Amino acid sequence: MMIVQLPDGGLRLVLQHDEAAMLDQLVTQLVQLLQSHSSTALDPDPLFASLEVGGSNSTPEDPALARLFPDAYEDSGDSSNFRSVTEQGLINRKMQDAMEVTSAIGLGGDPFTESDVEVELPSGALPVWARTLTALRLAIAARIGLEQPEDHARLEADEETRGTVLVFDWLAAILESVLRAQMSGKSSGSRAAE
Amino acid sequence: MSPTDIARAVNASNTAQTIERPNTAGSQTSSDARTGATTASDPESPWQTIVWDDPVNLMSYVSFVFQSHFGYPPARAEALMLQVHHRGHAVVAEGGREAMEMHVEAMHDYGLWATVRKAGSE
Repeated sequence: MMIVQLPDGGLRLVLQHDEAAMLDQLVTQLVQLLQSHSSTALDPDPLFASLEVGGSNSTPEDPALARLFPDAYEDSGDSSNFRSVTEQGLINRKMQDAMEVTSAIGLGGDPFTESDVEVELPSGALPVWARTLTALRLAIAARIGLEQPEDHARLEADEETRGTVLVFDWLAAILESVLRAQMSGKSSGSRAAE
Repeated sequence: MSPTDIARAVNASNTAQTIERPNTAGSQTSSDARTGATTASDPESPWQTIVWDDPVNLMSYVSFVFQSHFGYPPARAEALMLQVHHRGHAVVAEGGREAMEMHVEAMHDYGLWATVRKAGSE
């Protein structure tokens, strides 16, 4: 993997084909997880989809979904009310973000190529990538039971979860690069504005 | 329809508020009047947005979210992030209930663990 910061504030990701395929697969799984919790088809109009009111009224049983859609109140009644009007919009926006990421990776076309995959992220796409990488890391952490800071070392030492922890850390490395590009773009922008 | 439902229906008609800094004037008044009934001492800031620590989110990311959603300058965003990290949580905004719910929804958009609570209810 190679990450190059572009002069216009964007980012160029050069992924080996295997890396691109893995990232694409993870994001696709995220979309499927979100779809499994969605009660409606995603409105093709992004604005309507993001404004959709609705949702379930109880905390999801799946720990990954429970972490992506946490209770907003300590009181379960208030939480339930809040969830029932906000959750579907949250699901839809996370799906839109994730789908924007997979379409930027652009693996849809030729499954047989082995060449590197170059992804150019304009600065406007950085927050979308940051949110999706975060959602992925939250879902992965919930899946392997990474709940306390000290869990990381234990899960990394465990043969069964080691590979997943490495992927989790690899996603963090991409996220750090995205954030560095985002922050440096922002500070130079605000300097220009002042 | 609960008060939350009504508040959400009102929010849904205004797209900008979910992604930009909240407009604390104007449309806020009616909800303050509504939540004012249950407010104890400070009607100006009866509710809080709390962000809780978690072992997944990167410190740089939390700081980025505080800057981009709340428009906090880097130093303030950094201080709040450190408070979340070291104390386990931080109050990142105070105000009307409706505005705090919008913040919490936005925090959930970013994958931060955030809740709404009444000020002084800790």
